[in-house]
Parts: sequence; structure tokens; C-alpha cells
Amino acid sequence: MDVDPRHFNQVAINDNDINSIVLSYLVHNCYKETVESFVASTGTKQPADCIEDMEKRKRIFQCAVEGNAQKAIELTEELAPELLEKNKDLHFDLLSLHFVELVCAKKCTEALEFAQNKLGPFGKVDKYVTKLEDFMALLAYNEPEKSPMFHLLSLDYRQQVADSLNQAILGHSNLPDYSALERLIQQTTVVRQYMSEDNVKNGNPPFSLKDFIRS
Amino acid sequence: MSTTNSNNGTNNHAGDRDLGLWFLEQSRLRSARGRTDMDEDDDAPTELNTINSSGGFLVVSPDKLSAKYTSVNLHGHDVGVVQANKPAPVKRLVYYFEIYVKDAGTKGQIAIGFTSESFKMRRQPGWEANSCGYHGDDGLLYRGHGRGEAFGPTYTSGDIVGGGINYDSQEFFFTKNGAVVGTLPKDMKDMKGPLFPTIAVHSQNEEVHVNFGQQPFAFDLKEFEAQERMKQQMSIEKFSLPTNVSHGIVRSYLLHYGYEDTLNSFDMASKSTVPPVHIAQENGFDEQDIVFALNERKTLRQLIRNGEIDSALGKLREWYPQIVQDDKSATCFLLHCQKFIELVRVGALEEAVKYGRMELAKFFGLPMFEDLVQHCVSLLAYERPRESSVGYLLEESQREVVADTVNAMILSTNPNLKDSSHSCLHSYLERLLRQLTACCLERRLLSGDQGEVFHLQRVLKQL
Repeated sequence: MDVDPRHFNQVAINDNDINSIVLSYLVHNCYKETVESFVASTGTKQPADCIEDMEKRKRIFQCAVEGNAQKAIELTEELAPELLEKNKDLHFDLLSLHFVELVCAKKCTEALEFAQNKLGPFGKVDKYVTKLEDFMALLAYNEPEKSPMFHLLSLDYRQQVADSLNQAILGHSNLPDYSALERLIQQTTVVRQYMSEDNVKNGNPPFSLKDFIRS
Repeated sequence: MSTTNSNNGTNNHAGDRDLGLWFLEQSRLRSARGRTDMDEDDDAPTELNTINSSGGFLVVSPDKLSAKYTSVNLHGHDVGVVQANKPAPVKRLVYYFEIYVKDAGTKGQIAIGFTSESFKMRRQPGWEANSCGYHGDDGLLYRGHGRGEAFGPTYTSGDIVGGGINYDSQEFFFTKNGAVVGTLPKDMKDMKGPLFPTIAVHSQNEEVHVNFGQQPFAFDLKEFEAQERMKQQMSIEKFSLPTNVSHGIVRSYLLHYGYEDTLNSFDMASKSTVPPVHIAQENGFDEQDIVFALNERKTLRQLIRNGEIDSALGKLREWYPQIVQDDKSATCFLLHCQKFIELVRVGALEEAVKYGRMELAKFFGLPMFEDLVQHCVSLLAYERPRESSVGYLLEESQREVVADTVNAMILSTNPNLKDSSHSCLHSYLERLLRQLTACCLERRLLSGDQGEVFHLQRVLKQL
């Protein structure tokens, strides 16, 4: 299939749709001032209620990414009470972040106590057992960064948990839990790959999002 | 971008003509475009076809929704077969219909399935090429020949059996009393062409009622469709994106259309996120072409959005005279029209007429411009122009068209422009969306034009 984007020029896209898409990205990622500016500059209708919560969500997200899980939990309870109760997986992940924080600060006794009190109860359910074991194993190392579970200490992992938390909060406020933009980019890539499968069989390179953007 | 129609103006401003005319064309299309139906659907079957049924062997009820076997089952060529009056529609995710076995008769040799137009109407669906059928007496699936494959349970009096086509997975599926019993891949090679929902009865006293959707189904079709859509969604969700692609796309959107203030907010916020977002050079976003003249473009967009066309023209003459040099260009035309519209908006009708005579009259009779000119002028005819058929001109969106045109024209004057018209017209985001729409259309085409039509709105709503 031809990559030449000029062939797609005839397809009509509604301006309002484009603006909604951009707006959904901004709301999802808590760009409060940007949302306000965007709405003013383009005349797009701003979805109600999302502004005040954005600030709070942003703080919660940042706490989680920085590893300050306790603060994140506290703020979440304020903004969306019962959310964590309904979302055991998420609750566990957040608690484990705190555990990791303690381990990294070399507060091993505290970490152990915390694990026994807060994480232990999750161990009654099978699916948490492996996770629990991984986390507890960190205690066995003097330098947990060098352990096989080092990824649990990484920014990526914290970001993952923070993303899940963000999605859960959005869902709780009846907002979509992912941005339209992401979904559309994914869809485009998937469909495009599907289309170029035949091309690939003929020796052409598979579709690459980067290349498309460069083109 | 076809500009074959116009041969007005000089040939010097070839670039100008291309871009400006593109926006003009979009504006014309906008007024002509009605709301297309969300679900353009071909007709669905509503009743049984009494004309081509195997008349000697069965009788169809007056309401054409049930059939009864009237012959004596002597051999394999006296099956009472009847098709629906129309073939299964293809422009949707799933097609489905059901039968209720009123009476399984002496041998319970009932069948439900799909057959092509030319099916031999004395044979069970599935016994001949280009047909498939799920038979009640043995629970087997027949597909094109006399030997059936194990498929599902048998069925008899009192059972409700359904047959469907899933265009997304390209499968047939059958249900019994509300539950799917099996699926069958729909080979593109056989069973080509329109497929008719078909039922058959073959022993004394067999009687079957059919439901083409006029009554609720025993099978939860809506739930099934929802699940199929979920499956699609999930396979898309799993796909991981390179980091910060979305960020880059949003940023280049803001840059492209000159939303400078918003961009500054965005950049500031991005710096303070944890982790800070890296500007997406590594993702291949080339912002060179669209950074050009950001402040000027922002100013002009604001002026036009506020309806201050004179000021906009003034600024353009000062900063980019080459864009407004040719008074017959599409860009100038759009600006003049907008000025006219603004005068009508505030009720300064006399002034509007004067202005129209001065600046718009020259466009009458020129093919590309004629429609818009006529629409503008006809605004004068109405006491409440906003409610007229040309009321769209008074909307914000019309100002946006002009703003977008000017934006693109300024971008095109960039002396370091790499790729001429291409990057000026659309932001990455739009290119992506166009690509998506075009791909989905193409994909449907490849599956024989079957399946749901892609609508961006539907995707946005699902989110």
C-alpha cells in the first residue's frame, strides 16, 4: 500500500474531532493551564468538571512517580474514596512502591514490618503471592539494584503504577481512562501493519510509525 | 490536490493557487456536505421469498415468516427450501437471524444456513456448493457437499436456532437457544457473492418459524457485537507506542496552527512533569517547517477569529505582501468574503453591498469561486440569515477556514521550506487520522467491502 500521504488528502476530517482529540490528551495528562489556553484559542468546548480535579490528579501522579506512595495513597483517598478498596491490584502496587522506598533507604526493619502488616494480607490471594515473593526478595540483597528484581526499583515501574492510578481515577470520575489520541495512533499503526503484511511478504519493510511521521 | 479546473490569474503564483484553492474547495464541500448516515446500511431481509422456494414441497405462511413441509420425504431431492427475500447485508459487523422449530415432524430434518442466489432449491443448505447449513437431525455442519462435519448438538421441536455471519472475523456461527454452538471460517473463495439466509424442512409435518429481527432474539446479539468490538479494541490496546509520540503529535499540532500561547503553556508544563518530557526529535518529528513565523501566525489567527479582517489584511500587507498581492487569489477571495460576512453579521447591510460590489463582484463567473460568492451575497436576502441555508457562513467554523488558509500560506513563504505544500496543509495529527480513515476504508475493500464502515466519531465515542 502506498505510503504517499498525498493520497489521503481527499479524506475529510472534522476540525471539532481534531480538537477533541488534542483536548483528551491534555486532560488525560493533567495539563491544566494548557487546556485553558487551548479552549480559549480554539473555542473548543471544555468538558465540565475536569479542571479542578486535574490539579489533584497531577499531584497524585507526581507523588507516585517519585515513589512517594504514602502521599499518593493519602491524596487518592481524599479525591476518590474507596477507589483503592475496589482496586486491589492497584492498592497492592502502590503499597509495594512504599516498600521499595523503604528498602532503598536501607530501612530494612521498617520495610519488613511494613511488609508484614500491609502486604502480607494480600498473600492470602494466589495472584499476589509471586509478586509478594519478588518484593520480599529485595530484602535479601545488600544492593537491591543489583538483584534480579532491579526493575521494581526503576522509574519505568513507578511510571507504570502511576499510569494505572491515573487511569483508575479517571475511570472513577466517569472520564475515559485513556486518551483518544493514544488509541488512534495505536489503531492507525495496527491497521497499517495489517495492510502492509502483503507488502512485507514481497520483501518491503514493515510499517514504521517513525518513518510515517518523518514522511 | 487537483487544481485542474481553474485557469484564472497568472501562472506565477502556482504555489499560492494550490494551497488557497484547497481551502476554498474544503469550504465548498462543507456547505454541500449533509450529515452522512452513521450507519449506511444495505437492506436487510424481512421475510421469506415465496417466489423461488421449492414450491412443491413446502408452503409458506401468508405472513411469510414460517414454512411447513407438505410433501413426503422420499429422497434427497425433495427438500422444502426457502430463502429470505434479500441477501444478508454486509456493511455491518454481524448479520444474524433465528428460526423457531415449531414442529420437528417425523424425522426432524430441519436446517438453517446460508446459500447463494443460484442455489438448487430442492437440496438441504450445505449439500451443494456455495452453501452451508447446520442440520437439526444430526447436529452436523454441511458445507458444500453431502458429508457433514461434527459441529453442534441436534435440535428439535421447541428449540430456537440461529445463524449468523461475523464479518470481522470472517466466520459463520450458529446458536442454539441463545448460546453459540460453533463457528466456521468463511472462505473468500467459495460462498462468494450475496448470501441468503436459508431454512429447510424435509419430513412430514415439519414446521419452522423465522425471525429476521422483528422480534427479540433468544441470542444476545448486542452483547455478542459488543464483545467482538472489545476484542478489536484489546488487540489495539496491547500495541505499545514509542514514548512521547503523543506528546510530539500534540506539540506539532499546536505549532502548525500557531497556537503560540497554548504551546508555551504546554512546553512549560512538560518541563516540570516527572519525568520531564524530552522534545521528540528522536521520534522523528520534524518541526523545522512549522516553527516558522509562530508569533505572526498566532496574531493573524486571533485577528481573524475575532472577525477583524481589515486588521488582518493590514498585517498581511505589512508582513507577507506576497500572499495578498494577487487580488484574485483564493486567499484574498476568502478574506474578502469573510469581511463581507462580518459586515452582514453586524447588520451593516449597505456597507456590505458596497463592499461586495467593490471586492466580490469580480469573482462571479469564475468556477471555483462562484458558489461561495453566491452564498455570501444571498445572506443579504434573509432577515435572519443565521437560520437560512447559508447560515453556516456566519459560524465560527467559517472564520477557522480563513484562519487556516492564511496560516498555511504563511508557512509556505518559509524560505527554508523543505517539502512545499505537504507540511503546510496538515499537521501530523491530521495526516495520521487521514491515514487511519483511508486504511480502514481500504481494508474493508480488501475483504470484499464487508464489515462496519469506519467512522472516526464512533471511535471517539467508544473512548
